[in-house]
Amino acid sequence: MRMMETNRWTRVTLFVAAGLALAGCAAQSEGPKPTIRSSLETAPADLQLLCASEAATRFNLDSTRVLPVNSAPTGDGAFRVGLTTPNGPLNCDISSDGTIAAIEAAPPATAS
Amino acid sequence: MTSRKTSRFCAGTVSRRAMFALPLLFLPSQGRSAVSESLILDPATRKWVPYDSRQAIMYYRSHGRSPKEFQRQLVSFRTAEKPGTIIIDSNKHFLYSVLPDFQAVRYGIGVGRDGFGWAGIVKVGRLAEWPTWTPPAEMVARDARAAKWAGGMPGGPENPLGARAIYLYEGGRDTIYRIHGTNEPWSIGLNVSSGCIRMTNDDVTDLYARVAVGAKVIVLNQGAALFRGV
Repeated sequence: MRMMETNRWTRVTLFVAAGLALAGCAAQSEGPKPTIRSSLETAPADLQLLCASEAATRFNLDSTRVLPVNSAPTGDGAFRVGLTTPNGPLNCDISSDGTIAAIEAAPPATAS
Repeated sequence: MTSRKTSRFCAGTVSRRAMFALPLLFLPSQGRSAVSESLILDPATRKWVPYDSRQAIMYYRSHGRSPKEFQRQLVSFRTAEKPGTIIIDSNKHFLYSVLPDFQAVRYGIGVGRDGFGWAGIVKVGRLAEWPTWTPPAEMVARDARAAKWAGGMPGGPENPLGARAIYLYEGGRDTIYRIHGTNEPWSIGLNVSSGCIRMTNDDVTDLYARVAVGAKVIVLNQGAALFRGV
């Protein structure tokens, strides 16, 4: 009788421990889920401004006249950021860790 | 440095014609696209739905605050901008106050409604505590409640500018835009204003204590018009 009681408690304890372990793993891997997002997926503000700052440096531009005006994801957490500058529009490709892959003149817009 | 001053345009309605007649003209931006809005996850359907005024009021009534994303919080922020700089991400409804060591304080904000958003690089020109609000003439003409305050509504909890106002200047001139508090705290996260940036009174008071006249203010807003100076 006592043996059966012990086995049952062991099973319950193992079950609870396994549940807690799974919950811990889930919490660690997913983190808190957002409840709010924007309808437009833009690059994080700090990445947009890193592009603007780097463009001003590379092209010797007045930094107060270089402004990110659009951005969009390009896959793998990277973004393309469009910049307006005194010398014309530039595109900046930046990864989610802030590494800038390229900054180049944006191709001229074409009417459809 | 601080004063009780009047603000004429914020929290009122300015016609597009009046907006374009102002000294700081706008130019169309490249890559113009639809104005972004906040979406909230509906816990019942697990679908993203527009976070509009109705949703915002309901949320505020049931929680006593806006969603957690719009609460003041310390975040990491990789930037070359100096501490004290203010960065506004209008699309995501966030305002960042840059701190040392690649950190920032992030606040939730309300921004300009469709047609009233803007982007640019401006400066803090002036600061005021409990500013007076004067409704624009066209608002006075159509709204009896606004007409009551044609000569200026004194600062206080019912004043639409709230507890503090940070006046934004460009080239030494008043842009007519301000970062200010609000008597509608539920409106954080929405596109609701005539171009001003609104914050809760607690948040604008916190920001006010961190900011100085002359600080750089960068306003990011994909799809919005640009100031001519940029």
